[in-house]
Amino acid sequence: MIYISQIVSVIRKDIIAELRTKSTIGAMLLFGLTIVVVFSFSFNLDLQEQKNLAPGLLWTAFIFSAILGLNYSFSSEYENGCMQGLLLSPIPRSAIYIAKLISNSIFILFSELVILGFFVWLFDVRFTMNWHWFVLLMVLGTIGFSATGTIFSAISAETRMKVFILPLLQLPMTIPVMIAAVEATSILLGKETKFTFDAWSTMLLVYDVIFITLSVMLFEYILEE
Amino acid sequence: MSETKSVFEAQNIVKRFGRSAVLKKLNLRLKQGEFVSIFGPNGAGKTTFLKISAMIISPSEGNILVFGENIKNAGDLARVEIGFIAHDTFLYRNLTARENLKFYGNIYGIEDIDSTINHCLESVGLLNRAEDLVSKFSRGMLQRLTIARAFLHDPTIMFLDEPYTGLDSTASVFLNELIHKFYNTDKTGILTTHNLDQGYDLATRLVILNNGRIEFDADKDSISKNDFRDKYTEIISS
Amino acid sequence: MPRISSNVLLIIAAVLMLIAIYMVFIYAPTERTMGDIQRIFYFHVSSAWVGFFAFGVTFFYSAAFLKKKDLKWDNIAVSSAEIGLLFTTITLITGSLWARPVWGIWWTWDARLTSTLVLWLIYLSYLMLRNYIESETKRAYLSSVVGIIGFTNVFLVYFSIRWWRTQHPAPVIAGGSGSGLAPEMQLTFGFCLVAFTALYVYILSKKVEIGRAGWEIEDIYRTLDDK
Repeated sequence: MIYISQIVSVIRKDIIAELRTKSTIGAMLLFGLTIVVVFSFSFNLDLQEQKNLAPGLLWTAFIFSAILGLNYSFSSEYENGCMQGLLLSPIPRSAIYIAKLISNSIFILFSELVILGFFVWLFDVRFTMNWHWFVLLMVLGTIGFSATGTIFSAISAETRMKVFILPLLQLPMTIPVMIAAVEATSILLGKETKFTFDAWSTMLLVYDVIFITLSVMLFEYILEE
Repeated sequence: MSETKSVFEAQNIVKRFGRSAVLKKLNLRLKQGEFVSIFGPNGAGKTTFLKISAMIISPSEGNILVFGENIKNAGDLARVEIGFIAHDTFLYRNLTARENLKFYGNIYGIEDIDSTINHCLESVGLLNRAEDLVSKFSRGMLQRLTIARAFLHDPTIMFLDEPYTGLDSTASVFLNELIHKFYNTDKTGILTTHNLDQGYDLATRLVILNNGRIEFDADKDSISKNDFRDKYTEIISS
Repeated sequence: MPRISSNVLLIIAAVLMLIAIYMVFIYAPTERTMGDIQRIFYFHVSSAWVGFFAFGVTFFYSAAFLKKKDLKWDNIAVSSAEIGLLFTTITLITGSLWARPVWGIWWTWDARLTSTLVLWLIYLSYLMLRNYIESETKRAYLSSVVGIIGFTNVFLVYFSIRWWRTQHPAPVIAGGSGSGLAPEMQLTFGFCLVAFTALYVYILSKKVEIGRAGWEIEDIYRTLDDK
């Protein structure tokens, strides 16, 4: 029980601090908006092309803004040596990972929703799809980004070139998430493919489960000296 | 060896960074109420030893025992016995003083958290600033809040890593008082310091760490401050 | 003693590689439709195998380091990753050389090709990461974690890309049912795999030795500094 209440305390602390400064979410949203604007200049989409390109563009905007946010996910812990304060406390190392995973997922999901809004607005998107299923995809995909993103963010926080190391590690590693999310979104938009929506969302789920499990096992080693 | 049981014990601690050993088979056993000052030059391994003792990092070899139980078996909850004060404050800038203490209190699983926080804040004289952001705090206030944070969960073993470096005079007088109060209640502690005077005055036992080894270990009563000073210079310069 | 065994490895690898070259260029018959260009496949597939195997070794020794906390395991892990990266590079280049005359393009987003490229990127970032960490122990811990996560991901990358775009070439190489592969060709394939693996083992033993020699030099410098 204390495990869960420790996780909740870390998440609550992250959310209180973020609501106060709005620095990470603010940067993610601004960056997301900028990407969508750049896309809207670079691609002049008619209705047919929209269906083909929109899933890829949307998820690209999602992952880039997510990486920006993940870069700062551990920065508050490294100010004033707070991470040592955590390591000193009876919170298990894996609980720190889970808590960071959840708070990162919350921040990323929130910014994705707003970016989705920009996207629909600026591209004048007029497609219909089952939004319930799309929200499920966003949740699974975001947990996937965060599962590897959180552990890589902790790794890059320990290196000299923080901001540069994270995307280098994170982008190749999230290729399965990108492919599955983009394909599944295309299916929701009516594209005919060999594999079904269920197959792709299962792949996302498998990715999430594998990397959360691995990270829970490996996280303590990142904090060793 | 003695009838009082050991509260804290470090057994054959070895710590290697890369391939060079910083700590070479360190043994230290603390009885209830003992307050040890560890002296030694920079790079002697004092901070590393305290970090291992406080279970922040793990040793390459050897064991840490708290109340006779190996922490490898005791798990993370063994850490509730430990308090730690270092140069860093461990405080979140974007939280208020109260939020910081509440966060740590929750993680330590403290019951009756609000009155404990109020009591701690009051004893360091920050109760009227409880709702202020830590980023607005002056240096002295930060140091007092750091002390409140460290004593919040009422630890039985206290580690102090060079706590006086950077403390202003009010804060260090204050810390001294707390330490006296602390070990008068028969609690145990380790202090690392450069400052021979301060370390000698506070301690019940004196240890000199040099090149990753304990080269001197004696009760304070057995040696005068001047003799100890000579001993220290002799060991360090050898 | 290690020098002798390393020389034995060298001789085995050299002999096997010479025979492999003979078999690839002279013994194996020319493929009917593709012509001589098909011969590149023997080395291409062998490099791909060694690359993948080498990353598997990195995975294994990364886990060994985390368990034993001894830097010698980390030394093997990183040595194997560097060799794996080299052979993966060879795989990508030879594949491209083969694809141009046969498929008429340098590159296609096929499952095997793309997964190999992703694999290459993952281990390049593994080696890059190591450059940016000062402390030897910290470097070993962090890169071991990446080594383990990266290798696990390879399977997911492969399946996701395979579902996404399956072009084909699997049957040509795998040839489980002897899909048109002459017995001499099969033998040459098998032999090349063995020869390349021997070459890998030899290079690995050398790289590990170089890593150890680096430590010895550091130790000598340290004792000199102390004096």
